[in-house]
Amino acid sequence: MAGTPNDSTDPPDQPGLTGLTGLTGSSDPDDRDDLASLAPATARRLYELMTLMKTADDRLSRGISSGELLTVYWPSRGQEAIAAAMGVCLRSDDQLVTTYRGLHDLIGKGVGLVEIYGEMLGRQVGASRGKGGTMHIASPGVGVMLSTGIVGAGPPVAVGLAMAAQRLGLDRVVVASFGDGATNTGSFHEAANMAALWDLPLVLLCQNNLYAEMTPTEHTMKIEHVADRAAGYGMPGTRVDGNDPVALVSAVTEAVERARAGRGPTLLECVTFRLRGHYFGDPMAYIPAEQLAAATEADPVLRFRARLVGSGACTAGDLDTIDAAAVASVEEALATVLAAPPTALTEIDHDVYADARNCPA
Amino acid sequence: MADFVVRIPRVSVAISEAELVDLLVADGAPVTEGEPLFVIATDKVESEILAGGTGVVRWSGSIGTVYEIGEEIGKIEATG
Repeated sequence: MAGTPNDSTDPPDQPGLTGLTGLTGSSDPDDRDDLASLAPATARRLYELMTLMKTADDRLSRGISSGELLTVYWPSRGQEAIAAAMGVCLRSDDQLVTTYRGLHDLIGKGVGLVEIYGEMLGRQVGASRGKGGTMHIASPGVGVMLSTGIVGAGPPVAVGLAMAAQRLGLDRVVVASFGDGATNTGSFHEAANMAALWDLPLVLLCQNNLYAEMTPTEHTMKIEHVADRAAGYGMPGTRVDGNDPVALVSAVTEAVERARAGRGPTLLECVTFRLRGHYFGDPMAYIPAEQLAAATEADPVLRFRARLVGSGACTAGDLDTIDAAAVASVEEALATVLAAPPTALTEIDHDVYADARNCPA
Repeated sequence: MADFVVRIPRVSVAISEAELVDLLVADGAPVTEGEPLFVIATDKVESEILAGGTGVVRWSGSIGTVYEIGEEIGKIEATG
């Protein structure tokens, strides 16, 4: 792939976000970094991660819908490109604060499937030994410091982590991942303000999936672009096609390098779509059928697969092998989790109090 | 391959029970994973549930009964 001119790799009819959202967007193919700008190993890694994220989501969805798996889940299906790009751009010691819609982010940052599924299904092998649940998965060993269940709660925590890195003289970067709805909360604005003021090593990664729970962005904000909010804090704001992993790698790299060099935070708006609604089982009656159809057509995993094959970067057989490996990994992890013991009642105050003896009953 | 236990699924976040409103495969009939198997109703929304396994269906649940989420209503017995 390296050195191959890539002008022909994007199908001319590739759906852009303009068609998907009705918003003017960043999806002009002429502005997009092309596939040849990526090392072949990076392109392959992006596809591996995106496929694993999709497969893990598909398996959960299938299991929940048949009654095999009893858990609650906020699907990330459709947002894989953002998390994969983050995954290939961050170092293992960089840190992440994500949300309840975090399966893709967790996989991107390197959390194991057993830890993730174990937590969702209440098993001792879960990341928080099964007592946190889907909304509260943390894995500090790989830099995932927190998943929050409250919209907008993550950015201030990420500011604290970034402040710690700065004060300790570490060159690690913190990413706060959140949705469009979070940018309407006071906590987001306070966090953005302080991060900019103190030039903190932070990337504010907004996964704008066009709906805050069930409310479309145009009903909750006057501005069209979340990225425009950055100007109010004196930080760069960049809007990028959140379904294009190549453009995302370029944008995330720039934001991470800026943060790591001590030049402060960036607000990165990645425009995407949730293909399975707010929560698993969401009938999605509030989403216009034509919008959902366009979003399905713009599925980032399938788009990237076609792009890799179309450019000659990978063969369909290469990608089939990656797909099969993802299915095997997911099934193996699920089998391990289902064979693991449920979380014991004795876990209930573990890691809650340093010394529970003097705490009120 | 082990039998697949058919349970009332948690098809939505804020539900604790569901009514079994239809069985789409007769007792003793074969089913293939992914085929429609039964219908439940929650909050006035009906959901068609797909088979999670392949084999012969044995129902223990009955139409018109309200079940807790996770309650067993049958099995898909693996064949062969």
